[in-house]
Parts: sequence; structure tokens; C-alpha cells
Amino acid sequence: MGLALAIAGAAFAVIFAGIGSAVGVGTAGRAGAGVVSEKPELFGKVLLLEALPGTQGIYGFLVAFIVMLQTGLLGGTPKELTVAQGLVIFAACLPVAFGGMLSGIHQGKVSAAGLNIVAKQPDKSGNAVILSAMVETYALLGLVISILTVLFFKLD
Amino acid sequence: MAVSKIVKINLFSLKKHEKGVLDFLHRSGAVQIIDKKRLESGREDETEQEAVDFERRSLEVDFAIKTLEPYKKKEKQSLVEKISTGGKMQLKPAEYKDIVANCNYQEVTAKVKETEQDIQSLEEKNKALEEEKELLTKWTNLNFDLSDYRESLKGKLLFGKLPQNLFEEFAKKVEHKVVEADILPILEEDNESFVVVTLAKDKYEAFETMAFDFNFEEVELPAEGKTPAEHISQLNKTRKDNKEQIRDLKGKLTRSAKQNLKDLKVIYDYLTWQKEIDEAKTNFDLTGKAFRVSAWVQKEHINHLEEGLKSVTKDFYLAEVSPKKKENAPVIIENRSFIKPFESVTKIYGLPKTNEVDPTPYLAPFFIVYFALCLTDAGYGIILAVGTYLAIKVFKVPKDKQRLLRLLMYGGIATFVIGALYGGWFGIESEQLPPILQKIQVINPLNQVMVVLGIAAALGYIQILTGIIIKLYWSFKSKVYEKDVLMDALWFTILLFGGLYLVASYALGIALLASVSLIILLLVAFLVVWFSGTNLFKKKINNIKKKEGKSSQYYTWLILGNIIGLPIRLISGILGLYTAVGYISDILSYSRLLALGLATGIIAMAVNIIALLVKDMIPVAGYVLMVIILIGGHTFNIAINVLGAYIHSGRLQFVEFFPKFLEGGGEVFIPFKREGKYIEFKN
Repeated sequence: MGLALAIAGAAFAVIFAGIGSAVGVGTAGRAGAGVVSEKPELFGKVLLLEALPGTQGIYGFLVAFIVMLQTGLLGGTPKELTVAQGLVIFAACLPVAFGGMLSGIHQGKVSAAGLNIVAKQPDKSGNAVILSAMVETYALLGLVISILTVLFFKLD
Repeated sequence: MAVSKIVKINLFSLKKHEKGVLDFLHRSGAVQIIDKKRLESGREDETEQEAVDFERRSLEVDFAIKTLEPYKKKEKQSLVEKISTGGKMQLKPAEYKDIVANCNYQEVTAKVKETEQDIQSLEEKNKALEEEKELLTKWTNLNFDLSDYRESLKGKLLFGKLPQNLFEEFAKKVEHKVVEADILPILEEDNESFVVVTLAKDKYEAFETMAFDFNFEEVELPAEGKTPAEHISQLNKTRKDNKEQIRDLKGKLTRSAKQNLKDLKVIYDYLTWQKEIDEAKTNFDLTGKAFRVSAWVQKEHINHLEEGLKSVTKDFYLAEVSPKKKENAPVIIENRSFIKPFESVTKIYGLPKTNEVDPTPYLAPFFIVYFALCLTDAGYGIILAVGTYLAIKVFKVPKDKQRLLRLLMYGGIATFVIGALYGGWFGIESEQLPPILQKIQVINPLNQVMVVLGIAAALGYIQILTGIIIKLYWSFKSKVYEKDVLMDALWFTILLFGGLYLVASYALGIALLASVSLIILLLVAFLVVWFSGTNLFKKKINNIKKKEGKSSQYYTWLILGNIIGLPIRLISGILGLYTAVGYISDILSYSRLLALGLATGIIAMAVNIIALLVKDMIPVAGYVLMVIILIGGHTFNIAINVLGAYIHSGRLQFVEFFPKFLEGGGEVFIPFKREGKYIEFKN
């Protein structure tokens, strides 16, 4: 039961952060296709902005991976966890799960809006990237807390 | 090293030298001509008209170039050459002049346009013929002439189609109800029946309502004097003829591309430049025989500019003038070649104002360390450094395009050093590393997360202090003593002793130092409160001082006022401490360095584990798959994390560092310069 809760936490991290990235990349990608259809030479810059909301999914994956390491699941011999321990791990996964999901969706929107900058003033694409990266801060903060909690919570 | 000194000049000369002077300025690219239209209303005259004309012509040439481009024979240009020249034609000035003088571009563009239009109209015709043929193929079983009468006095002939499964029922119903009608099936194909209907004209309406119920669709066949089969063969012939014509026309374009494309590109650049020169002319002040132009130029370029002008004409006068109040000089930042790559980071944010400090040299060390901390993998560092170095050398990237690559190279080197200290080698666990590498390792980020977080916060703390120092230094240097400078100095002291207090009490354990720091911190904090509070009686006291000088009434008010006003001043001043929240959140923002660093390491580890799992699961082929996963996975990891490292190291500069001392928003120096889209001059 404890282990199941921990794995549920890992799944939450991957699923929700992944949803955030999928929606975000999707939003940016759709807007990006419009830019590329007019100016194919800007593809590289468009791709960069589209990739930005993709990191949340990676953060979710990262936390899930640490959970799997900590619970010994990857070594082949899972540890016996109490329900309380499982709940702690589960809760620790929530910051990256929800921080990742919502920031991913919104980062996608900012990226899509930033594509206006890319289309109209390609020299200023750097600004669009930074604007989009501002949103990611909150996924990163969630990631920091999730990682710290999972790593510091000793299971032995 | 800093913001370069840019001055305003006025240049006077005679009208007859206007063209020569403009040409020279355009070639040298040293000045930015001040746009008068922004300051005063623009001068309407024929030069503007001429500029519009040049633009129109350049658009025509552009159309011809775009049309011809696909017909061009692929030139064999190596990638190295392409990158080192930026894909531009290398031309000698004499060759350029020759082409401009001799190329009859208007005739060429007209011809290209005409040919292209012919091709398009032929292609459209063929498309229409194709559709007609599609229609007729279903009716080839008809062996009568389609131009024959389809109507008599009383009868009517119809073509149509309906779903095959409804046909029999339809035929029956029509026979029963309409009676004077005959349905003849011609073809059954793709679940559709194609039929010819003959019926009495007055029964047409009855037939139509019924036909609608059975999804009967009438088909219009062309009324031309042939059976469908004959008609199709004729269509085919026309199409073939058209195709041949298109091929001929395309051949014409291919020949034209071979012959004229290069010249057209040169002409395009020529026309664009003429347009630019004409537009510049509209900013000139004119008298009957002379002209004046105002421009921005780097101070150290003035001499060079004068020398150059002398080679054009002796009749000129050039003077440095002070700009008007409303005018803001544009900005150029210049740094030593080692720091130069970091200018690209500064430029993402924008340039400093003319009277501000250039942040590039200050952000450089922080940026590079943050970049390395976000990657913390020595292996990745080597790949990045070597890869970018090779890219610069092999592709002979021109100097002005090297910046980003150089920056990544520095980043790679820094990553190598810091990665080695952190024990990151392609995500291999530290226990399995060779003993030498284990010895170099100082920190294991996975086991000592708090240490890494501490390092990140400490770096943030140092950078924020640096930012305030720069602000203070710059204010003293330019003799700006305002209240916010004082506040910055106070906050600097608070942060300094706050840090000292933390170090003394937690790391060093020196109680005395800790308490001294704490006392100083509190004292300064009180000063902050004092200075941010509002002094209720200040106006009153100042008024008395103005009226009566330092009389006894003045002193009474001064003392009483301060005592009564004190609580209000303190309460309102406490809000001033809110700034501390800003500083703390700034420092916390640096925790992203920990997160990104761990991300790189753990994803690398994940790649390794997955690769090993695959190797164990699949015999023989597993090894191949393992190698593929290792290479692909680590490449992906490098790409995504270099991107993240670059962006987030930059963000820490823009959002946390710059606001401490920089306002930004300087205008970019845009030189009046001859820059070709297609050509570049060689000497």
C-alpha cells in the first residue's frame, strides 16, 4: 500500500506535468505553424519557443525517476513502505505535478504570443524567450521542493 | 569595456557634392543620420518620389529573382564556404559597377514576368481540361454526338447519376408514375449508376421531385460536336500541346536564370541602396547651393571620417555639436574581445542608456558560472567546448557571427571544471567512476543537496551585492546623490551584515561577531525606517525657518514636531522594510541553479539505466540498441539543458541583477551603411 502510494505520486508527477507540457507545446506549436507558413526561414526560432513549455514534462519525469530510485523500484527490489511513508512521497510529488501542469499551459500561451515578436521582429526573439521563461520559474520552484522532499525523506 | 562615446556632428558641404558625400557615408557605415522627420515635419520633394520609384523597381526585380530561383542550377558550394561568406556573392567594386551600368534589368524582369504568367495561365487551362476529361470518362459508352439536339418540341434528354443500389427501384417508379419516360443505364461504377433519361417535357417536374428522393444528380455534359470518346482524345491532345509549351517556357526561364539571376541580385542590392540614399537625402537641410546633415558618430571615428571626406571633396565643414535636450544619443557598447561574446546576453535585455554603465563585463563571470552549474557534467562540458571550437574552426565562421558559439565554448569549459568538482561524468554514478575522477570530486549533489542549494543562494547573494556596489560606484562617479542612492547604501549594509550574521552564527560559530553584526543590522534597519518615513512637520518647520530664521519658535517646533511626529514617521517607515522581501525572493530565485543542475545529472542517469536495461533484455541486438539509446539520449539531454542553462542564466541577469543598477532602454546605433542582401564586396 505504501509503495503503491509512492508510485501513484510518481505517476501524478509524470501525468500532470506531462499534460502541462503537452498542452503548452501544442498551443505554441499551432501558433508556430502559422509563422513558419509565412516565413520558413524562422523555423529554428519558432522551434525554440515551442520547445520551452516542454521542460515541465521533463521535470515531472525527473521527480518520478528519483522516486523510483528512492523506493528501490529500479534496482529490482522495492522497499517495504508504510502507508505514512507512501503518503509523504505522494505529497512530495504534488508541487511538480501541479506547478508543472499549470505553468506548462500558461508558458505555452506566452510562447504563442511571443511568436508575434519572432514573426515581426526576428532580431528580438531573445525577448520572447525570456518572457516565456519567466513562467517556468514556478515549475522550477515546484521541482526544487519535490526533489528536496523526496531526497531528504529517508526510507530506511 | 563600456558604453562608447557617441557625439552629434553637423556636416556642411556644397550641393554639387551631395551625391559623392552620401556615397562615401553609405560605404563607410560610420554614422547614423539623424532622422529629421521625427523632430520636424518631413520635406516633400522629388527625392521621396524617387525613393518610392526605386522601391517599386526593386520589388519588380525581387519578383523576378524569386521566380527564377527554382530554375537555377544547383551550385556546388561547400557548407564551409556557405557559412564563411554567409551565402553572399563576393564581388569586386569594379564588377559591381560594370553590372549596374550594363544590365538591362527592366527588360529581363518584364520578360520573366510575362513568361511566368504564360506558364500559369497554361497550367490553369490544363487543370480545367483535366476536370472536363474526368467528367467525360464516365460517358464514353455514349456513341452519339453531344452537340446534337437534346430537346425537341415535346421531349427532353437528361444525363445524371444516382447510387447504384437505388437504380432498379428508381427505374420502376419512374416507369409507373411518370410513364412517358425512359431510363437507360450507361455505366455502373464505384456504386454509382450513370444513366440517360428521355422524357416528355411536361413531365419534367414530376420526374424532378422523384429524382430528388433517390439522390439523382443531373450532370452537365459539354455540348461540343464529338462523341465523348473523341472529345477526350482531343482534350488529351490539347493538354499535351500545352504541356510542351510549358516545358518550352520553363526552359526559357532556366536559360534566363543561368544568364541573368546573378545580375538581377546585384541590381536588387543596387536599387535598395539607391532607395536608402534617397531616403537619407530627405533628412538634409538645403539652401540654394549648400546642404547640412546632422548625424551621430562614435567620437573616435570623427578623424577617420574627415580623412575619408577629404578624398571626396575639399569643400566641407564638419563640427561636433551638443545634442538638443530632447535628443537621445544612440548607444554602442564595446568590450575586450574576451568579453565580447557576452554582449549577446546584454543585447537580449537591451542596451544601457548613454549615461549608464555597460553591464557586460560584470555579468560575464556570473553568467558563465551559472551556465556551468545548470549543466554540471564534465563530459557534456568537453563535448560542448570541443564541438563549438571545431564548428568555429572547420566552418570558418566569420568573427561577427562567432559570438554565440564562443559563449557556448566558454560555457563548455566552465562546465567541464565545475562538472569535475561535482563528479558529473555522463551521469555515471560516482562510485563507479575511475579513482582519479573520484578524487577530484568535491561535492556529490545527490547526497549534499543542501550544500548545492547553499552555493546557489550564496552566488545570488554575492551577485545582488555586486549589483548594488555598481550602482553606488556609478552614482558617486557621476556625482548623483539622491535619496535612493542613500537607501541603496543602507540596504547594502543590511545585506552585508545579514550575511555576516548568518555565517558567523551558523557556519563559524563566533557568537561575538554574530551579535555585533546583528546590532549593526538592526541599527541600519532603523535608519531605513527613519528615512522612508514621512516627516509630518517638515513643511511647517521649513516655513518658519524661511520666515524667521533659526528663532526660538523654530527650535520649539523642531523638537516638538519630531517628538510628536516620531510614531507616525516610524509606522509609515516600516513599509520601507518591505524591500527586504524583494531581496529575499531574488536570492531564492537562484535555487533554479540547483534544480537545473540536478535535472541534467538525473536525466543522464536515467538514459544510462534505460540503455543498460535494454541491453539486458534483448540479446545481441541489445548492444546496438544500447549504443543508440546512449548517443540519442545524451544528445537530447545536452540540447535541452544547454538551452535551459542559457535562458535561465540570462534570466538571472535580467531580472535579479540588472534592476539593481540599470534602467536600460538605450537606442541602438543603426549606421547608414551599405549592406547587401545578396552581395558583399571583396578587395
